[in-house]
Amino acid sequence: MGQRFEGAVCLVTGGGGGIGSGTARLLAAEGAHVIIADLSQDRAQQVAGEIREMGFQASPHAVDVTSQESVDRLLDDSWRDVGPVNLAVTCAGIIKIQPFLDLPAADWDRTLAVNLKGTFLVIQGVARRLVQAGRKGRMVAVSSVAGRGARADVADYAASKAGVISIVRSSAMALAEHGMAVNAVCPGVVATEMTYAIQRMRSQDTGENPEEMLTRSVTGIPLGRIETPEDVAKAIAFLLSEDAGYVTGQALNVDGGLEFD
Amino acid sequence: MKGRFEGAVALVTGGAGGIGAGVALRLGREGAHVAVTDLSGSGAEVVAARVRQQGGQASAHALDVTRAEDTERVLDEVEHLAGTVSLAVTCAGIDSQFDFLDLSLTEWQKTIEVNLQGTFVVIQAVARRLKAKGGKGHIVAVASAAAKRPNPTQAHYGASKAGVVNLVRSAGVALARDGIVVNAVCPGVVDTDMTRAIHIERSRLSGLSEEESLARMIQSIPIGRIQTVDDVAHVVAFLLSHEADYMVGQAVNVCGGLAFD
Repeated sequence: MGQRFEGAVCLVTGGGGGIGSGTARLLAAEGAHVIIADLSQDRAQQVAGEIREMGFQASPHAVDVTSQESVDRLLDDSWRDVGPVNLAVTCAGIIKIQPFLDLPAADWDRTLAVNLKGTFLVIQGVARRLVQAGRKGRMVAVSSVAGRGARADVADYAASKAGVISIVRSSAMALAEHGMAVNAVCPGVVATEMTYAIQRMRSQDTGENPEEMLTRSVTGIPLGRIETPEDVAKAIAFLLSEDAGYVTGQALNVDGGLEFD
Repeated sequence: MKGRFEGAVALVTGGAGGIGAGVALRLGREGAHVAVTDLSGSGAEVVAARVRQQGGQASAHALDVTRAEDTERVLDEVEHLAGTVSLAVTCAGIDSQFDFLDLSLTEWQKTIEVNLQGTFVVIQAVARRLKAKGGKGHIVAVASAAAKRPNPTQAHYGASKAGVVNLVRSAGVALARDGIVVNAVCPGVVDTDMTRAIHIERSRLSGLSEEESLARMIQSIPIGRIQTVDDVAHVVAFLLSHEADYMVGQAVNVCGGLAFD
């Protein structure tokens, strides 16, 4: 594929997690300097270190995406230390399984703060600086198939991911005149720690074996195999590339055939 | 980017038209043998010659996509010449403008036959041969943003393209476990002869000049410029590549923000 992202600076929030770190590795291998931003400074450092050991460019940064101040600090530090952040991928997200009738308002607020407000703050922060500098850029938000369908035991998560699709559309319309594109991906069942944790939580509720549970959910995927972080990363990289120049405001299902609209 | 399709045989229907020709040239540059097919054999030959001029390999074939036997004949020819088709792009399509109350059943049927039946015939024929040989492949159908929007002066066209979107979902899921990846693109207002012709016809219906009709359409595109054939071809090439292997039955809007779902 060559070096599609040579000279670019790409922010990856949730960069310490499964999809975030997989995406960061791919973008770095194609020439980008990646900023690995994560709530956990340790995880950010670990992923950035691994990427640098592969001979690519990466810098760690701690961030709390729910805090405007923290996001501003991340972006100002990155511009000063690395250069104009012209690509961004928002992977920071949380999930917790609980029955709808028991879902506490505080958990709802927390999930919406990280998954939706966090995405908004990063998109707006990156865009403000690019507009001010007269530069163009491309961003991809990680939504989910849960943002398309119904989820009885993660209603807060599903609502937050549906919100991500909406903020991507609105920001794309607002930023088109500035030469910026904003899109989303909706992954399905990805082989990450988060997915395995969900299976463990669900199996605690039902008494089912977590492996059997995962096997059953993979059987339901038309493509017939679990999704890898690389499957997601490839679609994200495409949406960040020049080849996707006329694609904006879209949410691509990268899910092996689980969802369509 | 060069060589992503090295050694592959690609079938392009409607290859003499704007999008078809752009796709054929792109696939030729990336190493595929391109079987350029069109209802007009001479039109196909012109595009095949352009692919060869830029150093690629191509053959030209007259093809009426509405006829299964004609499709089989062309696939036999291509197989004999270059090998089994593992990449296919269905660009063959027609359009016309009529006020809804004046749309004739003849016009309706002709449009559904070429745009929807023609897409079905080609996808099924290509997939049957691939599956019989145990081969994997990628198929992309060209739908349209019209599939997702109201079309008061081209209800037949919109319905045919909405049919393509649904056909691609069914074929995508049906073929996923055979390693045959089927997706669609939904272009918007593309700078082609077909678009020019549409605005000549619309100006007849609206009383606006052709230029005014087209200018108003472009003003409504969030990205602020008309779409080029290459804007579409880039995304088609992505969906034909292994980068999109986890995408099943999707219709990707490549329309500068005109449509979302």
